[in-house]
Amino acid sequence: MHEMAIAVSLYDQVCRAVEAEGEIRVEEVEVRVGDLQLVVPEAFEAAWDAVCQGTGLEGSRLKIVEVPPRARCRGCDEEFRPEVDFYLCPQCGEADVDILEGREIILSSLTAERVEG
Amino acid sequence: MEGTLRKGGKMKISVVENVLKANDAVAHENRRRLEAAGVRALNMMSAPGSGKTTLLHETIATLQNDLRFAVLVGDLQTTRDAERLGDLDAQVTQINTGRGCHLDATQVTQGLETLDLEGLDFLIIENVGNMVCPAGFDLGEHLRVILLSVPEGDDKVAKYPTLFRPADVILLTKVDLLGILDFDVSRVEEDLSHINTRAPLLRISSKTGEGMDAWLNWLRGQKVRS
Repeated sequence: MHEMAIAVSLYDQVCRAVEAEGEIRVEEVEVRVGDLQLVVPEAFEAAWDAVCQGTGLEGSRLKIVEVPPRARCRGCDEEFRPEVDFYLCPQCGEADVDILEGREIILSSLTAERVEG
Repeated sequence: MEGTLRKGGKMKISVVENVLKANDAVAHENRRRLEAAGVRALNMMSAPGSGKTTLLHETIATLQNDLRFAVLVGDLQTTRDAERLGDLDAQVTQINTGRGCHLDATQVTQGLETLDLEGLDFLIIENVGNMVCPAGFDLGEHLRVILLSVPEGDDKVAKYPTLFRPADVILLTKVDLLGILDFDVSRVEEDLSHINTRAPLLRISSKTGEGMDAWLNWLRGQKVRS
């Protein structure tokens, strides 16, 4: 259930982005989530709804875009796409990698409507 | 980086901000602070009940005449783990996460406030027992120590690869039970052969002392050279 901690951080960042824009109503929040974070989309959505309840972001949708992992072998520098459970370097056959992508959680965009006032 | 595209009454605002940035920034600061004090920090992670606290107790009891330790112990509730370590010559601080399933970097910063880093060799952070959530949060550690106990079963590396992939050392604990329980060490080795070939797999028993020398030697080798 680390989804709740992530939802709270995301909430703070969305609020900051909204502040910069003035009076807007956020409809959709797009987040890129690395597969290695093991975020359960349904749990993340439920956490997001809970965090937003009673705030200006209530009713906003989360759009979760999954990002597959990408790795670089520490032995031979080969870059490749591992599976979450398979990190064998296709070049040298070791499983000793630095993760380049797939661990991130990135707020990428907001879809919003200007509130007429 | 921000940009706004308007289409009808709707707009798409591109933001591109790392949601874990706050944690990562605090973790970075923790690491910098520990390095400035010459302290090597270990993040110890495993399922609950795999023997983290017992191993810590045996480790520090054996090495405390040569090396200076501090421990941050994370649990949802109770100070029992800190109490279990209370007879050692080490600074021990319990961090209760309440509902939190993992430690985060800010909790470690608060823990560091309670410790005197001067003269310290090792900070050991005993994470909340959990094989999923702690792996996603950098605390500012230098090394990751992952435990797997024999009673948990020999399929856990395959089932929780994100915990074992970044490990710097993997400790197979409670090996005194190997003859009693059906646990095939070769299955663990086989799974590690495509998940993590860097970390040594050390077989240990805090109860009988088997394999403890290899672990203690590994640990001694991680001390920051002055």
